[in-house]
Amino acid sequence: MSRTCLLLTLVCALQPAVAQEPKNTSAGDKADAAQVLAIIDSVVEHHIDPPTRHHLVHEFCKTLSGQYGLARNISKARSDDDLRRLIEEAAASKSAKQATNAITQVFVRLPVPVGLSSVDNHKVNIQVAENRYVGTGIQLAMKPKPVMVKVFEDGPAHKVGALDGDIIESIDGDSTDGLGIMDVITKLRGPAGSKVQVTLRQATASNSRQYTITRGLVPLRTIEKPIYADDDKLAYLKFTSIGASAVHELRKIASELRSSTEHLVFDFRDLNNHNLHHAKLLASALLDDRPLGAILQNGKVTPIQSEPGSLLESMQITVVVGSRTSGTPEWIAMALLANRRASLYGQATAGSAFVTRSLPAADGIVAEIPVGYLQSLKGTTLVGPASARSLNPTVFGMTATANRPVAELQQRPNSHQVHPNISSGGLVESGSPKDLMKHLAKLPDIRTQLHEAAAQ
Amino acid sequence: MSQLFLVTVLVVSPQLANGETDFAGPIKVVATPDAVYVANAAVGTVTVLNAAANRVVGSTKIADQLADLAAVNPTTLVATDPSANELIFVSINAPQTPAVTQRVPLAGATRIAVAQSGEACAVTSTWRRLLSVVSIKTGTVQRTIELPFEPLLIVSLDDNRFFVADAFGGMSALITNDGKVRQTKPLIAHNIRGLLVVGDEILISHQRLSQIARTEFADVHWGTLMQNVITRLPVADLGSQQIHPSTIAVGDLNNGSAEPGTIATLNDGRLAVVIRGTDELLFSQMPDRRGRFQFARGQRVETGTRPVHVAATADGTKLIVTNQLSDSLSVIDVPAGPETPATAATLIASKAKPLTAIHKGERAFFSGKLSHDGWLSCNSCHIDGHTPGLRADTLGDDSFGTAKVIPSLLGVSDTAPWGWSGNFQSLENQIAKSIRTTMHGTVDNQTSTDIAAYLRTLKPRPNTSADINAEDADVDMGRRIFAANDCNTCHEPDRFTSNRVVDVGLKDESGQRRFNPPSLRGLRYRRAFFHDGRATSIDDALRMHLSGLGKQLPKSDRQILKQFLNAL
Repeated sequence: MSRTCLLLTLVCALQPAVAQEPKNTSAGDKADAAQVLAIIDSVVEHHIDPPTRHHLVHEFCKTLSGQYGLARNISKARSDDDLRRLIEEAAASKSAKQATNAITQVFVRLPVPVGLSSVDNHKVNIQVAENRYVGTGIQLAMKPKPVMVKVFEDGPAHKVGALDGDIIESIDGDSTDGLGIMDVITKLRGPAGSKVQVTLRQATASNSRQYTITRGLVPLRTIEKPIYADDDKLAYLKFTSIGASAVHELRKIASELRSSTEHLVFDFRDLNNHNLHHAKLLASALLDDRPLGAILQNGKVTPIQSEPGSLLESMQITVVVGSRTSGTPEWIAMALLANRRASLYGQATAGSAFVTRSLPAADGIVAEIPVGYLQSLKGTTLVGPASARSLNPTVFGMTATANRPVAELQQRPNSHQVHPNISSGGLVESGSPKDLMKHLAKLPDIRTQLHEAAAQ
Repeated sequence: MSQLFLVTVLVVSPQLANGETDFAGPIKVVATPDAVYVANAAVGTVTVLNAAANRVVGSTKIADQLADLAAVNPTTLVATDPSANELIFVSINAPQTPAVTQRVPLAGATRIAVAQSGEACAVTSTWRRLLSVVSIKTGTVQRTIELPFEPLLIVSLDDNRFFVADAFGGMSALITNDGKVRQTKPLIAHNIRGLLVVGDEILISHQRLSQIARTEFADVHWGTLMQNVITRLPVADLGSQQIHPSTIAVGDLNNGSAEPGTIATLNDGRLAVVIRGTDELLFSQMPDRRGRFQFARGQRVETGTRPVHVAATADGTKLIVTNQLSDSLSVIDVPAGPETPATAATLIASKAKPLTAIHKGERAFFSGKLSHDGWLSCNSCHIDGHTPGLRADTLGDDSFGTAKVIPSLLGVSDTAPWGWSGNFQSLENQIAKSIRTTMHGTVDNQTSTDIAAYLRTLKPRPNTSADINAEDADVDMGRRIFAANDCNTCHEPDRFTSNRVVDVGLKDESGQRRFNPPSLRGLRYRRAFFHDGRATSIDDALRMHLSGLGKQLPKSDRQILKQFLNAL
């Protein structure tokens, strides 16, 4: 199961409030032109690089109605009423849900995209980011009976003795026969401190076991346990998200690393994050009183500095990135590289180093609006198509942006020859942790070579 | 897990006329082969304990108050009385009846460290920013050393060197017996309340406030805002430019362990540390192959209220904890290993006076239990009511991203309104908001009222400068310049603040430029000026402030004005 599925399943299984459609967007409701315009206005007001109001209305009408040739009418619109009328015309016979889908598509297609979510979904997203799920702490699947495919370590179910693979035979005394997954989730979820009684059985066992689980916080790993290689000299850390718990988890890992570990590989390949605060905290934890870059926001550049003290000071670090590395992880990798704290390995990143802010856009809808560009130490932004404005480890530095030549870490034409295997992009893009580790361990003197390259 | 027995009664306080006892405030334990001695801060007594029998065998009044007690040799103790400005030598030739042999005048004497040679001791005078080296043999003060910070804890490194730590922030200094300050170094620390030399390291227990974290729930919950740690500082690094400390986490998820205090070593190599904010004694696991300690899965033993000191008995079989605010001692049998449960006996004062609102407020102010998962107390940021000079990004100004300098609460009763934005007309409301939005705890009206009652008892920081004479002509001239430039409009004598917010000509990150003028009393000792600490000296503060207000003042006038400000 993919990470996303796992998280979604988890959130659904754990949260008392599951994601809901935004208000007024059930299939039977009519699209509300005033609400669409309010959402558009909110984006235009706060977006770091705002499209015009007319452009968004045009794109929305085109997407919703499937009609072309609307541009002339829209460009003639002079007032709110004009725009609202055009939206109403495009939305005639369309449901609110279709309107929401259309505006969502329009925002996703923007060069610096905007996300939309219901207020309830937004609350879930915050809890995901802050790593404070409330629930029983299981990953659920229907096979066809409900099965705890994973019981999360230190979670409420784990604490009472539930095991991976346990079949849930009954919940609070009611058999689970014939229940769908949402029925099971509904029965399992509840507020912190509440209890649920389950009867569990391993597939191969004849006896069932009964437990009472007290729902509570389920701390989840966002940095997976280290995988060691090369006689423990190399430890691989897969980052699955950058949230509020990242620094805490890194501290724990630092205090428990094996004694011969000298080099860490941070896998950022699947990281997609746009929360500046969490990124600052993680970057600061790895860099001792160093400049991290800056944030360009509201036309003002504000430098960002790390605090004194850092974790894993004696360790060499290599950050593995790829085309899915998007947002603040690109900036963190850049800050580590620019401060000679880490070397880079992998493929060009997504070029999406912007940060977002959650703002109420309309009744029941929250917009994740890009409000700032993260910058390198020399003022370079990393927002644009991959390989043009992204972090590109194959050259151990950054290419110039279209309008801002990069002074630091100039592209070195021959640097890709540092190691011929560096270009084994397929593996780096999609290889499993074990494959990647095998690959890294095979590279002769990778630690030395990568760091020599970073130090140049 | 731990077991708790109430086995006996310990009267450590003088008996009052109505049969109740005064609050004693036990703060320090000194264990000798013959007896265990407990210093009682509030009443100036030394209680003698037979630890083997969990029994008090005597109590002797030696001072009005006590700030420290240390063993010089098997027959002599030394104590400090900050109220009488004395260092006191005490004979324990008769172990059960300590007797004062000499009183050495020593202004503001607080903590003591005896040199490993046994020939001298170093004594800190916190508010005076002084350290004195005193001959044990003659009882004379040999040297007095000025420090750029308020020193509190001190340890002897060898025959010739002392390491001294800041009472509020993270400064430290290396001092030699010849009176030289060899090094001052900031540690990433504040609220340093434990120093112990173990082998070739100094163990330093303290809190660590992140100035880029915010007081939102997640940053508190994950221990990002406030860490409770022990720093391991290699002694060999002292004196060099590069120091390579490492840290041991004491607080962990669900158990924040606010305010780690004194540390004791066990015979088997484990560590024990008192947690002053959550009333516990924590045992570490055995060190691993790399010598790393873990407290996360170690034993936790409940103590009395505000356990400020722990020491092992001479044979190492028991640990004695002084519980300052419950007037009790916890006597803990040292567990034979990490898996053996610790047992604790609590010795309590009898018939203690009923608690007043001030006493209750004091207990609440120092309690980490008011915060989410016990990560921090009010005292974590306002250490003993004062400030570490750090910035914290709280909702005190109703926004994040605008970190503000933590204000001192000394003299807080005179500084209404409260908060940098002056948005609290009621101290009680300010307290309640801090507990709810900074500490993420719950608080009732009575508790915030009690804390306010306690805070109103805190006096302004004493101006202990020997070099400033308030009657000096320059000071008087400075006073005139102060008035002539309308400084007293916002900093009204004698409080040197006012009841309103004013445009100070300096903006915060949100564009706010109207702030609550802080009192200027004790200004010369401040480490960070303005709402965001952008100035670190009075000179800088004057320059920035005058510039922000568009005022000009000749340099000579600024120097004279500074003389006046220094005298406040």
